[in-house]
Amino acid sequence: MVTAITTTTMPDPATLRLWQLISPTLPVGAYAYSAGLETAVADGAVRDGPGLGDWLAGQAQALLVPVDLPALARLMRAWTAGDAEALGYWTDWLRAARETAELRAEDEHMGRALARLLVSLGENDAGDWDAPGRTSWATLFALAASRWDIGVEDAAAGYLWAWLENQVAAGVKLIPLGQSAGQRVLFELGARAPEWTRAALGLADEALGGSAPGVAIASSRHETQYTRLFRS
Amino acid sequence: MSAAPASAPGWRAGLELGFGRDGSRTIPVHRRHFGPLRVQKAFYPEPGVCHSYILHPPGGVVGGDRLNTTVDVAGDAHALITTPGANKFYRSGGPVACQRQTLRVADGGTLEWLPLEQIVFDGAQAEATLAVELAGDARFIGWEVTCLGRPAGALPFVSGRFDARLRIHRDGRPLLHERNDLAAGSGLLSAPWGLGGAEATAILLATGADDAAVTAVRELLPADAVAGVTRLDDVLVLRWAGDGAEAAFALLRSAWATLRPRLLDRPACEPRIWRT
Repeated sequence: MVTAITTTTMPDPATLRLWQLISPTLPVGAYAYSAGLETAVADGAVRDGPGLGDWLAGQAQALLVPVDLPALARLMRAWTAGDAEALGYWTDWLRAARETAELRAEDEHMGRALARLLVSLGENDAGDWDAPGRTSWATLFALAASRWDIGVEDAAAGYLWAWLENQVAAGVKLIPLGQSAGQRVLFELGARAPEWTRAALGLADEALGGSAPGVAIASSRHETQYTRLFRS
Repeated sequence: MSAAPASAPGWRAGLELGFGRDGSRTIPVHRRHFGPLRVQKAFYPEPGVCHSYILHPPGGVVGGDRLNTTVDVAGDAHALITTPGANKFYRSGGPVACQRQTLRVADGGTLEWLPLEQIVFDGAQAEATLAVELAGDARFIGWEVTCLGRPAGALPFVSGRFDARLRIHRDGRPLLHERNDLAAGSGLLSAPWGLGGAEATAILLATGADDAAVTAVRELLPADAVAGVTRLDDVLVLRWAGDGAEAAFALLRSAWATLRPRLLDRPACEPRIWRT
């Protein structure tokens, strides 16, 4: 008996675009940064898989939920509406939320790289954001998500996932962890992505803002760490 | 603003301070208060700079209090503000206390904001915002020290919440904003990514900083301190976490003494009250 394969369950083009946007092979240099993790490992603050999971879950709740993801949602809205003022406002707001020079450099480096990539994929507006001092990864991620019809929940969960995957990869290299141990961390934290995304998208403007002081101090100290694998 | 209606719990207090230039020195040009916030008279331990002491409500801050402090520094004026005592946030039966401090410095003006610590008692419920608004090339050095619970762990912070926000803008554009939503029992207090169990936290901000200033302050960090220095555009940011205000101030005062000649072209001149 032949079973017909129904095409209604195929992923739509937006889903495929999202996979491309959050792939570790996207050439934006995310792998070059550890966001303080290298110092935390050197100091013994993160020693194993559970420690890495706690370090990342803490940042997800204290920074991605109240800072990155709501800003991403507002930037997507601004791109869709063509609201240049809101784009500038939320880009500046995100930049001001980055607690160290290193975190700011990472955000700017990745944002500019994605801007250039999007131009090469036909999104010419992106070129204006390949500029020092006034760009962010989320600004360009939001442009891509908006143009490629990716829904805000999927875009936010994808943004969170890409961050997690990159940080886990850094942890595997630094601690070091076996590949399976790294995948277990990703498996556990990935399961919480919907809960975190929902929390983030429900926040009003006055509830935004967060911090991770241990990460900020580690990242500040990483800027002068003697031997390092990752950039500052 | 007027006095609180009788039904509202807690103090409603406000303090407005304005500093301007008069010949070779800075003087208070505006002073207005209601409720229990006060400023003492101006002191001149060094040429030109006006040193002022803000007095907090004598009974500390309790749930439902609303305290607003606004400082305006004119261009060419140079004010240094400190406090003679710690600012205490007491246990609340439920209502949230709200403190807003707004510091505005006009193009060419200078403000040094160097208060003693704020102590958040177990069971406190409070929101505190420090907003620094700079214009043009206004200069600012300021710090904030927060202690959770009573010193030395006598009465640790095991319940309550202190939601602290810090914002610094120049010409309306944000340079830095951070928010420490310090809820008792949360990972932010105990986990390595947060305060790692430290009972006290401190931040120092200084504008006009270059890499040499960052290096100079980094050299002051004790080897065993949980502390870091970075620079966001021209704003040097020193963060510290540890136990007790004393260790925080030892570091902050040495950082201030190092930065003042570099950034404000003046030797450190400590407010007299620090020595008492």
